Amino acid sequence: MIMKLSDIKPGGKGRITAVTGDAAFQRRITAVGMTPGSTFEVIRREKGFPMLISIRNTLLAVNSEDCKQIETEAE
Amino acid sequence: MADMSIALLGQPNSGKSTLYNRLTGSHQHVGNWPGKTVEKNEGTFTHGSHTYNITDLPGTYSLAANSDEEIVTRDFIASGSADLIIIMSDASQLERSLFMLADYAGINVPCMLILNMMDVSKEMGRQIDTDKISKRLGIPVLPFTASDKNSYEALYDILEKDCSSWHLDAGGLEQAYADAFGSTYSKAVSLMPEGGIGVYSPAWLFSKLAEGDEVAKNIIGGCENKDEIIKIVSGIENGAPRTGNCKFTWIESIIGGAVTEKKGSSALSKFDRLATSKVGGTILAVAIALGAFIGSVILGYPLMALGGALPALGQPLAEKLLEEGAHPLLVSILCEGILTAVAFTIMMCGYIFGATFVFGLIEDVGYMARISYIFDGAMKKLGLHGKAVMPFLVSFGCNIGGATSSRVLDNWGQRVMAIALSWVVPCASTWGVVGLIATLFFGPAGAALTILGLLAVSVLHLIITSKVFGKSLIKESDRTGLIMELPPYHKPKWGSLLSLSLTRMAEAFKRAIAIVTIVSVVICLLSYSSTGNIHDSIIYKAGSAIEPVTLFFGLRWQTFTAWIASWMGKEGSLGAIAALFNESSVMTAIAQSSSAPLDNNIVSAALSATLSKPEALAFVFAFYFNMPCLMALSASVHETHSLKWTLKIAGYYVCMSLLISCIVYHLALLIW
Ligand SMILES: Nc1nc2c(ncn2[C@@H]2O[C@H](COP(=O)(O)OP(=O)(O)O)[C@@H](O)[C@H]2O)c(=O)[nH]1
Repeated sequence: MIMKLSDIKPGGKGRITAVTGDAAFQRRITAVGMTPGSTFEVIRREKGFPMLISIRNTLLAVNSEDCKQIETEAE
Repeated sequence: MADMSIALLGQPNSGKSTLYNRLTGSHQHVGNWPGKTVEKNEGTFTHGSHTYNITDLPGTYSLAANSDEEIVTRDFIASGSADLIIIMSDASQLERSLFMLADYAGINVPCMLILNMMDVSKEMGRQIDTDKISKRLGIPVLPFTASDKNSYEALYDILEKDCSSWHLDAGGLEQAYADAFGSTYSKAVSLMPEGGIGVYSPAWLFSKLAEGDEVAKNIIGGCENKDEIIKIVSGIENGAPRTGNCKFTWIESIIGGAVTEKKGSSALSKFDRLATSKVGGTILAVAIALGAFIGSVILGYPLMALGGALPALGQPLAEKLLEEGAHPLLVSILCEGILTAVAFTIMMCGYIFGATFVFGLIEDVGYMARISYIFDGAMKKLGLHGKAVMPFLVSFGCNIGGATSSRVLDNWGQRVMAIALSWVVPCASTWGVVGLIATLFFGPAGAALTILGLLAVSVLHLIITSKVFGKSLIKESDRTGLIMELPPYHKPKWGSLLSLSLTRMAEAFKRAIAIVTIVSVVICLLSYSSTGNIHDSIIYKAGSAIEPVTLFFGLRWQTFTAWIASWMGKEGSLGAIAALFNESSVMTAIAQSSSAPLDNNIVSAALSATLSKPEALAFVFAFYFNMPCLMALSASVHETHSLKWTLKIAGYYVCMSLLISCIVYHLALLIW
């Protein structure tokens, strides 16, 4: 089932299936390692805060609105 | 003449500046990339009989043309100015940080790879077979710990070798592109000159075009099949995620079998669970910010005390010089003007030192990213993102430090915007003056109310200012949300922190001293009178002549002068007040204000007798919202590389300050 990254609860793991949004956003987000195919775990999701995501051994804070542009599927 | 030119390329936090600083020591030069508002760091070092030039390229996550930093980096590499590019990666986050290497692959300039943070990586239980990686890449790969001096011999040895044949083998990556894009790739590449264009290989150009890189279109501009190539690549959708996928596939094939590790846990440490939680994390961040502020003052205290004590020398020195028969004007300039300038500058330096050290420490251990995470929501309301919080925090102590710490922001517009907004934040000296005057006129409870009022207007000011400058400073494309790594915690590097703090302090001193000296000498001349009576000075004549105008804003000529004097240093206005109401020499009082502010009953009595409450309130607001001192202004020019913008913003602040005091004054007249 395809879900937006922003809809995944803390502790949820999955795989990125697509990164949408404009080209500049796509370039920025892939440069930190969030590419289709990569697996991740959502560490924190609080209203008004960026999401915390663990991916490729890195803890990333990503603007929560931007997480709506990342599509994922459960592992 | 250097034997070799080297450039350092790497993502933020890869340890580039640690390496650069260790290699060059004090042989550094900070300049500007031609035509760009990006800082250029160049240095030299020698080892054995060889001399090297080294350029520290801006830390960016990729070589996409997203920002000036990345464009500068790319252009520099393409210009062929460097004989060797050293690509820095973080071995503790190997896969992710090799993205820079993958983005570089296809650029035909000799390079080598440094795997930094090997100590951290070892601690994590990870083993990396660098020889294997080196064979696969066809370039030297050096395991490294930038913070450990024992690492450097091996690097010097490599640099002695002939690097002209160190070309990164990008064959696997080209294959990945071919697999992912099929005939689109092969067609586009076959239309390009076989050897690529300049230093860029066809595959590299293809990936950039697929990612929608506008600058890359210019690169193929001279190519005869340009239109056809553009037509092919413009059909590609989601280019960056797809090429990104290829790059990571390639990275995995390069490090596959060369890295063994224990499976790390992605769970937050106990501390991070607190540090990133909504309520607890916010309380912690505020507490640490407050602690940092107090810590900065304590560290800077010796210098601040020294600066504060200096003006006391003025009187005896002046008497001595007068006895020797020096001209009174000269004595006044020397003992009042220049001495004050030096004293103020030294005091500021104390704080700059303390703040650079303490906030540098917070950054160094990795906690600053957590603060940015916590305050991202607040910063977003101002059109910025979480990383911009640092200039605001530091500005509570001193706006010079605030301007300097805007360097953490990745693009120029955001940097200028953060500086412009951080000027609203009152520095420690501003608080001192506001507290004194407000208490004198309105009592403790009234002072507290006044401060609440100031804070409320500050919030409004921030919002208005972000709207006024937002459009022209930050392009729509630069209004990016936070994407930031929360690095693992590191042990601080005390030595480099100390040297950074000393460097920043020296920089601030050098920039400030001249400008402050000139201004204080001018004020000194204006307020000089041969009779010793202020009524015979130019400042009195000019001030009383324009008083009818300034009164419209609620400012009497004395408070107006004090408002102007605060440009020199915020404490300066206390001195001006003391002098103008005491009718003594202005500069003496300005000079002594830092050590003994308004302790003089005559002055307070004269003040409360002369100024009405609305006038006092008007002054407090005008003073609080005035532009920062000239030292902070010059620091801002330095950081923004734009005198024009700094002046524009300063002019805006001056107008806003008068506007606010005007409104406050006329409202207050209705009450009192
Ligand atoms: N443990 C460890 N820390 C390092 C090493 N190299 C750099 N650091 C630290 O990592 C952080 C980021 O390094 P810095 O040089 O500022 O990275 P830059 O952003 O690439 O310039 C700083 O706290 C450094 O002190 C290393 O090899 N080992």
